Amino acid sequence: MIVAKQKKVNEVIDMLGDDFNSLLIVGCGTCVTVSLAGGEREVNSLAEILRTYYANNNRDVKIETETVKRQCDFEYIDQLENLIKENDIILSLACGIGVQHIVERHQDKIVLPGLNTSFYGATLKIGEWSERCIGCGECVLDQYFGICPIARCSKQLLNGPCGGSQNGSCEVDPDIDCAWELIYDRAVKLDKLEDLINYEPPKNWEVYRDGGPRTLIDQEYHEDRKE
Amino acid sequence: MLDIIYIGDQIKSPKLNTLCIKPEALIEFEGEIGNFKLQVKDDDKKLKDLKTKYIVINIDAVRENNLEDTLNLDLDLDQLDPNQDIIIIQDYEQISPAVINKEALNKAIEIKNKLSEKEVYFLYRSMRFIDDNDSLFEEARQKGIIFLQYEMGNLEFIDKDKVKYERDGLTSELQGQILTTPLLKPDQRLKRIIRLLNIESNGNEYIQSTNIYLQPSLTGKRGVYSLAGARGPNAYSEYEFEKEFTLNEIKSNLDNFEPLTENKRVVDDKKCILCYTCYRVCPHGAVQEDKENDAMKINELACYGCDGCISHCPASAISIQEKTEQKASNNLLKVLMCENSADTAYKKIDKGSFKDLDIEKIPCASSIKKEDIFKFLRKKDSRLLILGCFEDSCKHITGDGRGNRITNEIRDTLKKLDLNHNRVIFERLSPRMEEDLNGFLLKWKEGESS
Ligand code: SF4
Ligand code: SF4
Ligand code: SF4
Ligand code: SF4
Repeated sequence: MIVAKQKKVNEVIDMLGDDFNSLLIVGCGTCVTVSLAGGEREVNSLAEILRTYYANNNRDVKIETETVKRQCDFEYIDQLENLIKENDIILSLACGIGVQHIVERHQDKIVLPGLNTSFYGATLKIGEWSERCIGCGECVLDQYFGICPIARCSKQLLNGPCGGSQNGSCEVDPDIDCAWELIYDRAVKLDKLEDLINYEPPKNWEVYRDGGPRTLIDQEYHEDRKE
Repeated sequence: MLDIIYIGDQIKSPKLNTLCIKPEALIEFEGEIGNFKLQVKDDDKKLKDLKTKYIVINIDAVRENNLEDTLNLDLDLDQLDPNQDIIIIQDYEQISPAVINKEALNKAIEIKNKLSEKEVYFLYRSMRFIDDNDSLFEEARQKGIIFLQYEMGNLEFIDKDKVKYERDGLTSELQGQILTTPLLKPDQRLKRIIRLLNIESNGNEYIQSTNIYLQPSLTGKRGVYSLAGARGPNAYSEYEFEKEFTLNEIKSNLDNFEPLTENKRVVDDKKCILCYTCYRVCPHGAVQEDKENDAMKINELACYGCDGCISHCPASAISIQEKTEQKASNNLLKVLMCENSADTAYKKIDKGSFKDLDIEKIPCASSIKKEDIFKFLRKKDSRLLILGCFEDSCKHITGDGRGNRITNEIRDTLKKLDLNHNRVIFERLSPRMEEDLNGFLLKWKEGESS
């Protein structure tokens, strides 16, 4: 899922500025709810925090809240049409995709991000997530026994560790597991160490961002666009 | 329907309908007290479903050899060389639990009985006088076993059969066959059981930490008990008592368990996004996935009503059925009191000076919600005091910590907003601290913050 973190509330206040009278905070009920950053609970708490702030600073601001299932589908954004129109500023607590999707539907509105979108990750325990994939466009997990050297090796090395790994930790930060140690351990466990000896040529980065923003078209739904 | 399933070792419990399974046989687990459903894989790899009213986890701790090249407590006396002295070393690196102390004393006596003309040295850091250890100690001394107390820095292994011992400036070398007491470690299979049953474990991977509110063998999950090494090495000294307690409690409860809380906590299956936060938060393992409804469900009989799940659900999907709405008050001074500590203490004090405070009883400090607190703080000059339990005395195991964490987040936010963060304060109390409570409240009312 997409893991995100709420922006600091003082930053949100600065971002909102003084030039508005009404605000709609929109939560997203999927990824960022699970990562405890932008679900209904966070939307309601943030609304209360801002109300407290404005009330204690003698400012009269109307704040409304709503949480939709996903902000990355127009069908859900359209459910908010009237609410969005009625408010001066929209603060989206979705990932950056959600923010931009609201913008796409409401060109005349100021839409602000309430979260810092962080990465694609997995929950390790409550309140703790870790990056596992960067969406490189051509998955190589089969060659590395299920541990991604692109997302989890700080240097994205494909042919073994650098010289800096120590006691299982990455030299960039001892809190990061060395991906290559993990890969090695898995290889030993599966008795496939010799598979790692083959030289792995550089990855095809064209399918990643390096080829510009990507669009994916499922031919099944687009007969007319068949090559 | 069985009365008890033992995970680990069976305990004789006549009149009860019981069964024993190996820890590794458990595949799936669901249900609540009175109706646990277990899927187990038997020895011929066949799956079968079992139903039981209670579960007792009775798994021994694992013994690990302390030092290579030394003898163990479970040695056969014939292994000993009759021409050499014996050096028994207890508490090396780690203080041994009483059960090991007892075994070591017994072994020392046995050895001395057999090799009476040889010296038996017993080096220890701490004697654990539990059970009949003191009479064993006495007996051993009368038999002529030499007891020497050491500290970690004062004992050195020089050879396979030689140690250097130093005390009060005197150094002596002892030579003989060295026997060290084993280390007790949690059985690795416990981890899986803890995860499958969703029960709390302490940092050492034994089931449950010390908590003065819980009878020793209770796990925090209603209907599930743990005994012996599953609870940690010190549980062995209390084993007979805890076994008795557990079986008696089960016998007296059979067919007679009622919800612990009047108001049901319900999950709205349209709002639940199956994020599992409630499952991870619930200190009583009362939350499970409801596969039919694609949402979580809260087991009524297992729920203690602490409301931790409600304050943590990111989708606001959990609510209390039939909760009477609290009427808003205009009071600027509000106190939230955990009913297990502060509120119990509050009952014992003279309330004369506090009539003007808005005091609300809450089931657990972890039930506080940021949203509600900020709603209250909107009133200028309003102040809130949250009173939770001391660590280790929280009836909901981890509630105090979670309550404290939420409070800290709120204080942090207030700082970022340039508002006075001391408007929200968290303090810990025990039910017996009525005098401290009185003091807290008076001081806080006056506007002094700690
Ligand atoms: S908008 Fe972002 S956070 Fe929300 S569902 Fe879509 S991808 Fe997930
Ligand atoms: S190779 Fe790594 S980054 Fe690329 S898709 Fe697979 S997991 Fe994601
Ligand atoms: S915390 Fe809420 S949304 Fe998440 S699984 Fe539990 S009930 Fe569902
Ligand atoms: S109220 Fe407490 S005990 Fe009941 S389900 Fe929620 S967290 Fe668990």
